[in-house]
Amino acid sequence: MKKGFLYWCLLLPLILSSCGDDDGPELPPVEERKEEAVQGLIDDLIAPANGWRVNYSPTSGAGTFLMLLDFNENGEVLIKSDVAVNDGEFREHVSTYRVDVGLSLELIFDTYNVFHYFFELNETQFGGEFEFLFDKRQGENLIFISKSDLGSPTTLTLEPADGTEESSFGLEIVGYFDAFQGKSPRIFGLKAPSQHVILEDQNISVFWQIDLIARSLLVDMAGEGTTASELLSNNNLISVFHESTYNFVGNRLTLENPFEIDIAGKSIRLESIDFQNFDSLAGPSMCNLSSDPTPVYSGTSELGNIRVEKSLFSSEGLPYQPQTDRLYAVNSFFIFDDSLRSLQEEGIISVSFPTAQAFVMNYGFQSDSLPENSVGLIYENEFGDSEWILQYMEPTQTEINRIRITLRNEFYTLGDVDATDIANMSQVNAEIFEGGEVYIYDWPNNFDLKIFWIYNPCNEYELLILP
Amino acid sequence: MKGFTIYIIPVLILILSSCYPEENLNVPVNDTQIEIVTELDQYIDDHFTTEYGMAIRYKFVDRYVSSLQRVTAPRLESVRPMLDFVEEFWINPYLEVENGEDFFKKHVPPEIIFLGGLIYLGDGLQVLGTADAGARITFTNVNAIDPTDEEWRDQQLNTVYHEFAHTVHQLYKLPTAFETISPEGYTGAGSWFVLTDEEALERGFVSPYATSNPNEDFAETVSFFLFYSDFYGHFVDQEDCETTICETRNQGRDMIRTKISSITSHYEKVTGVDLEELRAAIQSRL
Repeated sequence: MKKGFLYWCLLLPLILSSCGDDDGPELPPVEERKEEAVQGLIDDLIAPANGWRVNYSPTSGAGTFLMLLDFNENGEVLIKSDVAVNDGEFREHVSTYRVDVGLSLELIFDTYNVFHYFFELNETQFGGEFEFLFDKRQGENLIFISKSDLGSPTTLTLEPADGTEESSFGLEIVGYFDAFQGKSPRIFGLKAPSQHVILEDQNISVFWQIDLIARSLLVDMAGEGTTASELLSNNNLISVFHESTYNFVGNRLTLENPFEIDIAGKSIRLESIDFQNFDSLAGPSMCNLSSDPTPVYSGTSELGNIRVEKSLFSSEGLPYQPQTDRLYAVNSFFIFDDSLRSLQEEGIISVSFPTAQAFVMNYGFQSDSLPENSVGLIYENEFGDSEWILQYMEPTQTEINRIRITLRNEFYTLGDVDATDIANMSQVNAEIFEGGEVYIYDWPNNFDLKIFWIYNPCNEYELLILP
Repeated sequence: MKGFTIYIIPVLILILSSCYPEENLNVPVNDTQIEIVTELDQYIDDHFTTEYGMAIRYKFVDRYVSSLQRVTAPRLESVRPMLDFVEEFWINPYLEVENGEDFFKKHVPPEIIFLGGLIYLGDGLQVLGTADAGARITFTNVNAIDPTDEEWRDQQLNTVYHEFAHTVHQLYKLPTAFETISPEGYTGAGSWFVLTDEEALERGFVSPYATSNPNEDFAETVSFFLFYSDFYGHFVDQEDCETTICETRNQGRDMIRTKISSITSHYEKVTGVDLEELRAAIQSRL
């Protein structure tokens, strides 16, 4: 009993001394400290006379977007940006913000603005963010870290603006580049357009696919020559596969990972292009049947004069090769018109072959019965049996990913097929392959399948085809 | 010794508990009690908070969704039109019908959330609208506001009338024997989405989601009855049948008719609101 009592007596002062405030005797209550921290950050946010400049990169794979943020004490923020989508909605807009304190101080844009636009892309899987954790003050800058990014956290650095930034907004150049998006495959979302970048003084061409949403590009191919026909006849295009993000400042496009290559005895390094002249009508038509113009954007770089044209060439179609042991085919639903409606549901196939099952595209197929090169449909007759009509075509010619289709007036049939059916089949093929040239691409998918995506620039029809 | 220990432990607890007298652990985190700063806040306060006790939350707070759900905030410019939509298509019809105002004011959830887009779950699925035990109704896709777009409008009306109907069975229970009207048709929370609309109708339900359980069946049936213009033509009136599948649909319609009869009687009895009259008030606005 005495020993126990002694222990407790010794312990009691220790316990009582632990009640002392580790943070100092005069520290205010926690709620007061929180309010002070919140107000401190708000004061910092509203302090700069010209607001803040932000070079925002929503994900590691995206380029840089220039923004100006001007916070006020009423919880509003005026944002200007060089993001040109939605008819310029984000060029200048007001939203609200809040500073919270949870695990740390947080800056939350709590009504919709350009940060939400990036957040919502690809059903919120793109990687943008509108909630940021305050990290630190660094000199005059405020550093934030994205709160709920699916991938690597993004850093948001707020630098005091000097009032001259607005002249850096590349609004004009952004708009001109958007003009290259037209005449591109789109059934599975807008495909990043291809551009033919002609280094005129070097007699070199570069083809890249430019993602106008993420501001990233993939340099696909390069070769000696300045026109498509020259490049194809020279047959010296080489695959490159160089990835870079980019940004626009004024009328300059800058590759954040410059492109370098040795080609035709020259060392080429392309870091930026200063654009001067845009002409929406000076470029080549994508369809051999029409003279529909496309844009041309000209400028200069360290490599001399540069001319950028629209293109549909891409090395993605190179794996489309003759298949001797099987045919290319697809469920006939997956053929779409220029309004992205399935021809099986509303177009010519629904009228002529309402029971169509599959679309077949033989390319080099070696068979005792089926034609080696042919296109057509398999459909069901009134008795539930399959009937085939395949229209012969000349041996397919491919130039990079451009396929020339020359249909012959000769048909393979299986089943009780009459002349009307054959005439209908001829019309279907003529409509799908109007112009006789289509472009083929790889369609990345989550089904673990190789799927090709065919685009006809003359009528903007699209179809899928599986090996 | 034992007595001593028993004595000293309460003393220690008392001493320790008095260490931080100034600090309160119950600190509200992310509390966004709206400060009236703008005209919009004032409008909300005048027309909704003061009048009906509804707090309209248009500024995003992450507690509005679960940690795996991803959604954007509403555009400032969309908030006022959405308020007008809520007033015109949800509140005003109640004010027009007998006992409606009293019912609405007594049962309206205290918190209404506006979210800008759809709620994405990351696996390709989306949540169109949610409610939380009568305490909150969440409108999604507010940024796409267009009351002339039937698809958007019907989605919002389905959400709000569905969620508001839950308050009735939560407070007053389901109509007597409601769950016995189509007992074989219920699927369960994890499998309702494999049904088509057609299959749900054959089972006696207005939608696949209604088959998940009797509470959802009740809420979906009330909601469809109120907002769906062709409710009788599609869900009640019998077809002239020559096929078995058509007869099965008619059997489903019989069950839905029974449900509507049961629900309208129940509403009349426990709330005093005539659902037919409320339906007419809503339909006159569509």
